[in-house]
Amino acid sequence: MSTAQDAPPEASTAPAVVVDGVGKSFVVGAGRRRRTVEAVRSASFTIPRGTCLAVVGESGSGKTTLARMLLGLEKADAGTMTVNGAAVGDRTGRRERRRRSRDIQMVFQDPQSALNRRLPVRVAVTEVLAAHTDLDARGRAERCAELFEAVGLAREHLDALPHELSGGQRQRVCIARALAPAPAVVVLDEAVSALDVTVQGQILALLERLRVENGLTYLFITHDLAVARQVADSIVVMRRGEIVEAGTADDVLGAPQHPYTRDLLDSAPRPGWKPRRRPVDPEAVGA
Amino acid sequence: MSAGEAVVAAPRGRRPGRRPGRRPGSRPGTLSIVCLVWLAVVVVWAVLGPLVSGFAATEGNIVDRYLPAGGAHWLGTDQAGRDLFTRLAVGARSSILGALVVAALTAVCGATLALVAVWFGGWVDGAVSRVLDFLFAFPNLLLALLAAAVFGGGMTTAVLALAIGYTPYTARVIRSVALRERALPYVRAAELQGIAGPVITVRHLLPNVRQQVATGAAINFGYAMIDLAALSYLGFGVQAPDADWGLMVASGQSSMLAGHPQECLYAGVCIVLTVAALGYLGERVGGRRAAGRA
Amino acid sequence: MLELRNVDVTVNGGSGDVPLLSEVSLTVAEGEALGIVGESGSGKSMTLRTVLRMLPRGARTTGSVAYRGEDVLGYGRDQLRRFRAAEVSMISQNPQAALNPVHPIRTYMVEGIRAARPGTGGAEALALSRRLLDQVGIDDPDRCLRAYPHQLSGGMLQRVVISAAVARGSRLLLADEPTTALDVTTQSEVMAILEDCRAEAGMAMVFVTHDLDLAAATCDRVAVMSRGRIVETGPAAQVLASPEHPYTQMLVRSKPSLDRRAGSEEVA
Repeated sequence: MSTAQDAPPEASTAPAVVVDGVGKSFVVGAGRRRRTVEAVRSASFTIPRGTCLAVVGESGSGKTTLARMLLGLEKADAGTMTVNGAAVGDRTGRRERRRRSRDIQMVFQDPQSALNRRLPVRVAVTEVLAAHTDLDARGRAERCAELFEAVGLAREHLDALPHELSGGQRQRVCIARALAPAPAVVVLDEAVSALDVTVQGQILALLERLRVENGLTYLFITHDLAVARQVADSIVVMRRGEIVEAGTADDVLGAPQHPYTRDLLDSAPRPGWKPRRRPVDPEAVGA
Repeated sequence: MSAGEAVVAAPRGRRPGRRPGRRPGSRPGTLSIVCLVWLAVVVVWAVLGPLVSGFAATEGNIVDRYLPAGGAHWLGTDQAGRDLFTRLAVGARSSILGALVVAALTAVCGATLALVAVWFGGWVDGAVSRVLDFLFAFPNLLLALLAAAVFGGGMTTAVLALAIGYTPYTARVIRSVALRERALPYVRAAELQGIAGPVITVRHLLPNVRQQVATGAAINFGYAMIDLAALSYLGFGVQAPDADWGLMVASGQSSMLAGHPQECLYAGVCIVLTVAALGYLGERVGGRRAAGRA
Repeated sequence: MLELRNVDVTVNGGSGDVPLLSEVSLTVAEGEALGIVGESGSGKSMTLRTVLRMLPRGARTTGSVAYRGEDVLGYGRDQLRRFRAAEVSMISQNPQAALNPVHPIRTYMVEGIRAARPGTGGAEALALSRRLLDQVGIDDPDRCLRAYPHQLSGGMLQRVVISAAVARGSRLLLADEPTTALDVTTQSEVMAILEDCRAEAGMAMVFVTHDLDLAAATCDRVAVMSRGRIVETGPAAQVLASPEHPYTQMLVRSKPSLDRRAGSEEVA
């Protein structure tokens, strides 16, 4: 499970992810209502190798768009992004796409729809191995079993169909799939948000162990500050496409500077907490 | 019973999280069994009929014309003294085989077009959709008649023309299902993992539209039988003296006017029962909507 | 005002009966807020649906559901309709599903009021809607009444549904994860509005959620459910501070904390 041997040598000291002045806008609506929405505005941050950065924000904050750009699913309008030493967008063509999937992988929010419901879950992993390694069928099966073991699944889960597994087990399969190409960076898009709290804790702990063992770099997208607190070394808070606050997890959550971060912290239910009304946000009306 | 289970117990809609064909507590209804029995009878009749009757389909003795049912000729004879039981059996062959080829061709072409359109999207999807819309504008029979006029009548022309005419129905349904499937994260995940497009299409998309392909084929089979019979009736499909149900309805018309309705009647009843049975079973399995015919 | 006693609900699965609820007993006093907390599949939503008698087809219910001394399970069709129209209101996680997309908000509000209070005039119902929308913090009630559901955000829709419940004069509000789909800041806002409305109208509430902290902060008492059973009931603060049942203890423990970073599996 070593990722170091696949990484380019110069990358060991450079940050795994560098995002510099990245922007993206979409055109929404049609006719007279046509307008441009800035989903991400000049975002910049770096993720040192082997650490976890949490991007925290509410819906519409641009955190998902940011991740999609890093994965090459969306083209940035401005700025540059480097993942594992290679600029995003440079890697086009089939060989390069394959190479790209060794730089960065993704785990989705809903493990149910992230797996083909008609195929045994092991196929999700073995087909990735088939695309990226020279292993024969037996070697792939062995490697797949190893990966399943690494994410805490048993051998009898290999042949299960997705619906025969629990939500937590399905998410473990998705994590095994993301690890199969031995990527340097893993994007976790609300990866524990659809899970029950007891399962959430287990998955977070698993992710933490895998990160330490394999020297992985995480970009963890979440709306939940408490989840960010569990996993992140550093935190970026986004609001309406802009990064309003960034820093170490201790600083951002311990001594928040921006009023919005404080607002987020105050809104999270906890013992002794009371909900409170605030002036109506004019932008929330109509759409 | 086991054959009935396989057809009828398949899940009706797309049911995520269920193995297809394994729905507990669902029994085939009485009507489904009647339909299956009739179809089985037709198949056995088509295969064995000419062997057990002892008559040839295209040879008759003019002396024996218009014999009633019973005696050596179990279902009587037509105006040329040919054995109706044997002719119906041979007619079943061309009806079933022709319709089967139409259904199979339609399924293959429809699925291929739909999956190619969905995978590449963009202008490819646009182009495929426009071509399908264009084909939609032609009534199937008109298309087949046109083909017969240009390329000459006969079974091959009729089958190919119908297959082309049916393809848009199947392709449209499969395209919509595949589009929904394409948008699911697992397809995106496979893409991100650097797996090639054709592999994803065949391994992931195809199995998830299999049910729609199968249902569409079953329903198209019924429609193809009617349309082929109609083409033969009009003289553009199977040519006399070969036997075909549609052709028998046509050639029996003059006999009916002469007071001998049996040829017309038997062939007509065979067409109606077989198409009705196929339609009912197809609907039990997937519904007309699944075939794009609703 | 609401009392469930030994309620069992079973459905017929492919191979024998599957219990959805087992021996569920709970009470809600006038004006009280009861939180039902549990993970997915624990039966918490099913409990609400039992009260409204909106169970899946083929489900069998035993035990008793009493609303103000009346047997809800024994209601005839008309009684049940009146019960649903005027006495209880339900708000769900997805308010969009509760509103017909082809009608403006006005239709929904007026329809609800007139079903609950037959004889109310259209103008009267509209005036009441306007007043209540204003009360739930909607700036421009007239604009909101003209809007269609898809034009409003999730938080706004949830406010509309809450004000509709108040407008009908419901005495009991059944809330099924009403804030789960909302952002945290909006959740805080909606919960605060919900509390204001309840206090003013004297409405009782059963609040179903997976978030123990949220339930504890907004409810008087909390019931914890697991696998179709209620495993613990008590005053909200007490359940949170000193849970008795092992399952509740595990829930309290696994709630991610804002104060510390999690360890690896071995430590956790």
